[in-house]
Amino acid sequence: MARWGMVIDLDRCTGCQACVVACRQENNIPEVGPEQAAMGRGIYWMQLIEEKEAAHEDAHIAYLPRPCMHCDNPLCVKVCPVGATYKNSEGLVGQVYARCIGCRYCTTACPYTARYFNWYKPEWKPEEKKYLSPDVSLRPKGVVEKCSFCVHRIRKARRKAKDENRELVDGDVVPACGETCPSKAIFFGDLDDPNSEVSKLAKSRRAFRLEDHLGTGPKVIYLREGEWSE
Amino acid sequence: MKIQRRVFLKVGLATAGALAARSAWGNVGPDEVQEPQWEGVPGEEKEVYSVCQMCPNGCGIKVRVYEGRVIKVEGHPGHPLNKGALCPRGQAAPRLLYHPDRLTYPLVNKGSKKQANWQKLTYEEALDVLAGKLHDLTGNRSNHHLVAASGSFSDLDDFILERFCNSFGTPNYLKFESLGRRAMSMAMGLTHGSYSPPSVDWDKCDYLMLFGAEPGATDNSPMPMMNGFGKMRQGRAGRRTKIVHIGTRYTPFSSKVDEWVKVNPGTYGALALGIAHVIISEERFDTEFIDRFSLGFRDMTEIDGTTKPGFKEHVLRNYSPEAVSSITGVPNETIIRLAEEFADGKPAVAYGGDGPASYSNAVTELVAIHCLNALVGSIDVPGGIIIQQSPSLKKEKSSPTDALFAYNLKQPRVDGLRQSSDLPVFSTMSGLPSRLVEAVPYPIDVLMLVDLDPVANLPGSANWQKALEKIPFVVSFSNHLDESSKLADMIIPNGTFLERWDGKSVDSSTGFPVWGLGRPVIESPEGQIDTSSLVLKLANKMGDKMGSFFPWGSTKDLLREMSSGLQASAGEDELWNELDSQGFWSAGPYSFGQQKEVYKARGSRFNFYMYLMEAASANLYEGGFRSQGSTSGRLTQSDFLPNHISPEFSEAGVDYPFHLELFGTTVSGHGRWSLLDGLQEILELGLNRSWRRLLLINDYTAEQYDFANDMPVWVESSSGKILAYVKKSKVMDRSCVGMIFGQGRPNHNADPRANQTPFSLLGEQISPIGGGYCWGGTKVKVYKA
Amino acid sequence: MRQDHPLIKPVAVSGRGFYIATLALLIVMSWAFFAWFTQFMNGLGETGLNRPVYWGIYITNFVFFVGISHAGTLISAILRVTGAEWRRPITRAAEAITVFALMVGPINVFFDLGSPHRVLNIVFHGQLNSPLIWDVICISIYLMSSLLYLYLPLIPDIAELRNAGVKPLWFYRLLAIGWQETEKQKRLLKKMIGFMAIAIIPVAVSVHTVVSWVFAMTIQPMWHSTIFGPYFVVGAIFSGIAAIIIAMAILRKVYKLDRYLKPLHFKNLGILLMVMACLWLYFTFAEYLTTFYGGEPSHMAVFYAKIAGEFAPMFWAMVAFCFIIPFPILAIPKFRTITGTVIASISVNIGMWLERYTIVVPSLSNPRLPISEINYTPSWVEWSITAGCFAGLTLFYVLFSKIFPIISIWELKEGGIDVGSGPEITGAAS
Repeated sequence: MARWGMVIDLDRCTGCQACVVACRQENNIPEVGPEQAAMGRGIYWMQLIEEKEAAHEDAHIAYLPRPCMHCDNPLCVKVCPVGATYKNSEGLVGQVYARCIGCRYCTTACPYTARYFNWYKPEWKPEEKKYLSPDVSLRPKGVVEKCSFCVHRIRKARRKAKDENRELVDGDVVPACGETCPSKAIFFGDLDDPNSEVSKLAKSRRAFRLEDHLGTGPKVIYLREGEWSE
Repeated sequence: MKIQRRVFLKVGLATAGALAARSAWGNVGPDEVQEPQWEGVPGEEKEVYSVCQMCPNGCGIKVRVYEGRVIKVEGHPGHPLNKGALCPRGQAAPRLLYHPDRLTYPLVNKGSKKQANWQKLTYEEALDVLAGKLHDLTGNRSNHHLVAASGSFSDLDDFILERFCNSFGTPNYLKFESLGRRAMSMAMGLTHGSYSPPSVDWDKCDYLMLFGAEPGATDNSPMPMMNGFGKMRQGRAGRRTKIVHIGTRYTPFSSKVDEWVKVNPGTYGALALGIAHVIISEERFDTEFIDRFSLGFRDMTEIDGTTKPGFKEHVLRNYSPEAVSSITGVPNETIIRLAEEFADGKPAVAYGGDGPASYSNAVTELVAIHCLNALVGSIDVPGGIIIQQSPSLKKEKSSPTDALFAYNLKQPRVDGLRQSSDLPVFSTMSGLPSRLVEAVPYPIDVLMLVDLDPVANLPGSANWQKALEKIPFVVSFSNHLDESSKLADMIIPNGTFLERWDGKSVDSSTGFPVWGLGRPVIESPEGQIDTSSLVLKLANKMGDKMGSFFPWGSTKDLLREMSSGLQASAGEDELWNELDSQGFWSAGPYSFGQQKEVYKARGSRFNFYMYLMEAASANLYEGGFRSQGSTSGRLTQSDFLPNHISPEFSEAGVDYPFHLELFGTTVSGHGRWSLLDGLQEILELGLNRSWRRLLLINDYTAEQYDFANDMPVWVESSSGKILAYVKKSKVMDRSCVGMIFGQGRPNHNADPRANQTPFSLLGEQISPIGGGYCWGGTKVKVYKA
Repeated sequence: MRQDHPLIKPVAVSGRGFYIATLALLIVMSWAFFAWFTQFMNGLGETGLNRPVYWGIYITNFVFFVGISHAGTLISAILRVTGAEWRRPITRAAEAITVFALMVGPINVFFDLGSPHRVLNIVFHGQLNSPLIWDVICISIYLMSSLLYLYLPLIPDIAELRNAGVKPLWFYRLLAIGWQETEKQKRLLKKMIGFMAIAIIPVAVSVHTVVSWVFAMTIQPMWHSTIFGPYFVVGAIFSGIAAIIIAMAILRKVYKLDRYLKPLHFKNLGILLMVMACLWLYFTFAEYLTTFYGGEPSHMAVFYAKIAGEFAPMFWAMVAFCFIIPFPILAIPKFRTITGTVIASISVNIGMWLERYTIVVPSLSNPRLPISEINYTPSWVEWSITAGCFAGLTLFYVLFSKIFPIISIWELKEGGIDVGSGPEITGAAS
C-alpha cells in the first residue's frame, strides 16, 4: 500500500496556472460563468493562492498552488454526517458524490478552504460535452467536490502495473497538474517509499506544510524559495 | 390506555439505541470502502502526436483521443522544446476545438455590413466567389489590390500564402506576428543580421536580468522560459541563478525573483546603457569576446579613411549612471551594483521582453539591452544567448514569369514597407488601418484575413472597422463570427490546428532546429477545409498558370516534400516515417562556435555599430525616424550606435493623465484566446477576479476619484474608449493604470458597453524599424460610467 | 367548565381576527414554499451563499429557532422543579413554543442541504463522529420528550374540553384517553410530569450544547471555543424567555386573558430576562476579550471583521439590541411593565438573531487562507424562507391555541387556584 503525497517546489513555480487549467480539463470541472464566478462560486480543485504581506508597501504577493492536502488527520472526514468523505488505506481523502447530501459541513471545517460545491447543475453545451473525459464522473448539483490527487490515474497506473506483472514504481503515477507543469515544480509519489522523489524532497531543509501547527497532517509538502538544497 | 413511565423509558432508550446501532452499522470507514480496481472505460482510445499552435513557439503535444473526440492535450514527453510539459493555453486547446460558437460551413453576407444577412455556402461555392473576385482584379490589372493578412502561426500557411501572393502578383502578403516579436527580431537583426527573437540557453545561466519580461506571459518562448526558470532555480545541484526583474510595476512574478527594480516607462534601454557604462568604465567587459566577435566597440577607421565612433566612447560620454538615473528613476548605486553583479555573474544574460518591446523606441531599447550580452561575452556560449536555427525545408521559390505580374509585384506594399539593405523599414506616418481607409498608396479591393481578427486583436480598432467596411470584398478565414468576420463579406471556417496536416518549426529556445508535424487527430466536420488546402484549391481555380505553381495534390504531399530538405543524409521515406511516428524532427544538440550562423551581419560579428541601420538611413529618415542628436533630425553616425530614444506617448497632458499599461499574463497571453471560457474563468493572479475586464488603479488615486472596487468606468484615449471595472491595487504607480489583454470577451459581456477590447484604445503607432506595434505609449483618462 | 369560560372560549369560538391572521400567515408560508421550491429545482445557487461563506441565513435560523425552543424547558421544568408558583399560567404557552420552534429550527437544515432528496442518508449512513448527527439525535430526543411533556399536562384540559362539549368531540375524546380525574390517574400523571420535568432539563441543555458544537468542534477561528456550549445554552434561554414574553403579551391581548396573565408574570420573567442578559454579556465579553488578548492572526482577522470591519454594524447592533436597550428597561422597576418587557424582548430577539448571524458568517468570511473581496448577501429565497419560518412558527402556535387551551387549567387547579366554571372569574393567579 502506498501513501500518496505531493511536493510542490515554490522556487520553481512561476505561477503560470497551467496546473489549474490542466486539472479542470482532466477532471471535467465545469465553468460557472461570469456572474457566478464573481460571487465566488468558481470551482478550482487546484488553485493558486496568495500570501500577501499587507505591511509591505509593495504588497509582496507570493503565491502557491493549493490542491487538496489529503490530510492524514482530515477534519472534513471527522464532521461529515453521512460518510460521504473518507480516508482510504492509501491516505487519499475521497469523496463519494453519490452519498453527499450537500450539507457543506466539510467545506466549513476544512482549514484550507480546499473544497468546492456545485451550487447549480454543472452544464455543458452539446459541443462542449465532446471534450469531457470518461475517466472522471460528472457531479450533480448539490454535492461537494475537491482535488482527488487524480485517483483515476493512480488506479490506471496500478492496473497497468498489474497487467505487466510488476509493482508500481516511483514515477508511474503522475497527476495532471504534475504532468503539465512547465517548470517541473510538482512531484507526486509514495511518501512511504524511502526512495521515492517525494520522500527525499519532503526531508529538505526548505520543506514546510501549510497550517502544519493545526495537526491536520497535510500530505502536500511545499519547498520554500531559497538557496539550493537537496 | 395508560402510558407507563417504564414503557416510555424502554421505548425511548430502545429507539435511541437502535439509532446509534444503525449508525454504527452504516459507518463508512477506510476499510469498508471498496476501492475499485480500474476496469478501464469501454471505448477506443489512442494517443496522437502533433504540434501545438496556441502560440508561435511550436511545442510538441500528445493528444488523447477517446472515441473520436479529443479529451486532453498534454506535452509530448520526448519533444526537446517542452519535454512533456504544457502551458495553460495549450491545455485549453480542446476548448478551441469544441467551441460551441464554431462555424461549420462558409457564410456569405447577402445583406449589408450594417444589417448582415448570412447565407450558407458550400466550400466550392465560396472558393468560386473568391476566385471570381480575384479574376476581376486580374482583368483590371490591379492584382496588387489584393491583401492577404495572416495571423496564423503555421509554417505551411506562411509558405502557401506567400507563394500565392507572389504568383498572383501582389506584394501585400502581411504576416502579423505576436506583439513584441517584430521588435525583438529587429534588435537581433540589427546586431546579428538574423531576424528572429533571441533565444537563451536557460539551463546554464547563472545571472539573469529580465527587462520587462515574465516567463509565459507572452507568445515569445513561454514554455522554455518557464522551464528554464525551474531549472535555474532548483534544477542544478549547488547552483541557483540570481534573477533580477526590471519593470514598471510590481507584478506577482516580481515577488518570485531576487530583486525587483522599478524603472520609468520606456526607459529600459537607458538603464541597460547605464549598466554598460559601469561595466566599461570599470573594465569588466569580456575583452576576448569583444576583440574576436564584435565590431564597433572602439572607434574605427574604415578602409576608405573615414572614422566611425565606437560603442565604448559613445556610452562613456552619454550614459553615465547619474544621467541614466534621472531618466530611469533607478538609483545610482543600484545601477552600479547591478552592473558589477552582471559582469561578475557569468554566464549572465540580459533579456528584453514585452516591457521594452511595447514602446515606440522598442528596437533601439532592445538593442541596448542585448549589447550587455555582448559586453560580457554571453553570446553563443553555454548559459548565454543562442541563435535559433531554422530547419532547412525544401521550399521552391516561385518566380513570376508574366511581365504583368512583375509590374504588380513591384508596387509598393500597402503597409508602407521598404526593404532596404535587408532592413525592413516602415513609415510611421500612418499605420496600416488608416492607409487602408485612405486608400494609400492605392485602394484595396480584396482583403483576405486568415486567423486574424484585427478589430479585436490589433491596435487601431476603429480604423480597422472602417477599413473592413470600406474594402469591397473581405473574406475571413475564421471559425467564429468574430468582430472582424462580422464585417466581412464572406467567412470560410478553416478548422483548428488539431484538424489539419501542418508543419511548424520551433521558433526559439532549442537553438538546434526542430520541425513539428501537425496532423488531424480527429475527423474534421463534414467538408471542412483548412487554409492551406483551401488556397491550394483556389490557386488551381485561378487557372493553369497559377495552378502550375501549386503542383501538390494535398497539403500532406507538400509537407512531405518540404520535410525532405531537413536532413540531407537521411532517405526521404526514413525521414518521413520518423516525422510521422514521432511528430517532430530535431537536430540536436546545439553546437556552439558556429560563428557564421550566429553572426550574419557585417564581418560575421556582433555589430555594436549597426551598419545595417546606416545603410538604411535614408529610408529611415523618410519613414519618420529622427536623430536625437542633430537639430535637423538627419541621422548621423552616433545614431547607428545603441541609443536611448525617449518613448513617444499619445496625447500627453492633463486631458489624458494616466499612462496605460497593457500587459499579458500566462493565462491570457496577448488576448487572442479570450474566446475560451476555460481560460476566462481562471482567476488572475493577485486579483481574485475572472471574466471581467479590470482596470488596475492605485489605491490612493482611486480614492481621489472616488472609485470603489468593481465599479464600471470608462477608459478613454484619443483613439477610443472602453468599459472596465475598477480594481484597486497598491502596486500600480499613481500615474499609471493597468489592463490585462484578453480579460472579458468581446460580445459576451452582460454589459454591452464592455464589448470592445483594449486594442480600441491603441493608436496605430508602429516602429519604423520592422513595423512592430507599439502598445505601451498610450495615455488615457478614466471616469465613472 | 362551560364553553364560555375565558380559558376555553378561544378554543370554542373563533373570531374574524383569527381567520385573517391565519390567511395572512398562510400567504407568507406559500410564498416561502415557492421560494424553497425554486431552490429545490435550481439548486442552492439561488441563495447568496458562496465560497467561503458556505453557511448563512439557514444555519442562523436553525440555531436561532432551536435556541428559542429552550423557553419551554426553563419555564415549565426548571420553575416547576424550583417550585416557582407564578409559573402556572404560562407553562403551556412556553412548552408550545418549544415544540414548534423545534420543528421550525431543524427544517432550516433541510433547506440548507444541496441534495435534500438524500436526507435519509443521515439515517442509513449516519456517522457518530459528526456533530450534525449528535444534533439529529439530541434534537429528536428533545422534540419527542417535549411533545410528551406538552401532552401530559394537556390531558386533563382536553378532558375539560370534552366535558364541555367542544367540537369536534371525537377528537377530544380520543386525546383525553379516558381521563376521569381519578386519584390513581392523578397520581400517575403527577409522577410522570415530575419525572419528565427533571429528565428534560439535561436533554434541553444537551441540545443547544451540541448545536454549538457543530461550530466549536471545527478549528475555525472564533468557532473553536470551549465556551460555546454554555454560551449557546445561555443565549438560548435568553432568547427563549424573550419569545415567551412576546407570545404571552399577544395572547393576553387577543384572548383577553388579563386576569390570568398579570403584570407580575411579566415582571418576574423580566427579571429572569435581565439575569440572562447579564449572563449573556458576561459570556460574550469573556469570549471576545480572550480572543483579543491572545492576538492570534487568524482569529484577529475575524475579530476585527466583527468589531470594526464589514460586520461591525451588525455586531454593535447586536450588542445594542441584546443588552444596551433591554437592560435599563428590565433593571429599572418602573420600566419593567408589560409594555416595557415586551419592547425589551423584541429587542433581545432581534439581537439574538444577529448574534447567531455574527457567529456563523464572519468566521467563514475570513478563512485561514484568506480569500479577498467575496461578500455574502442573502438572496430573496433566503429571506422568504426566513419569513416563512417565522410565519410557520406563528401559525402553528395560533392553531395550537385554537385547538387547546393556551393556559393550563389543570396546572392552575393543581396550584390551588379556583378557576370557576363560567365567565365570572373567581381568583386569578396570584
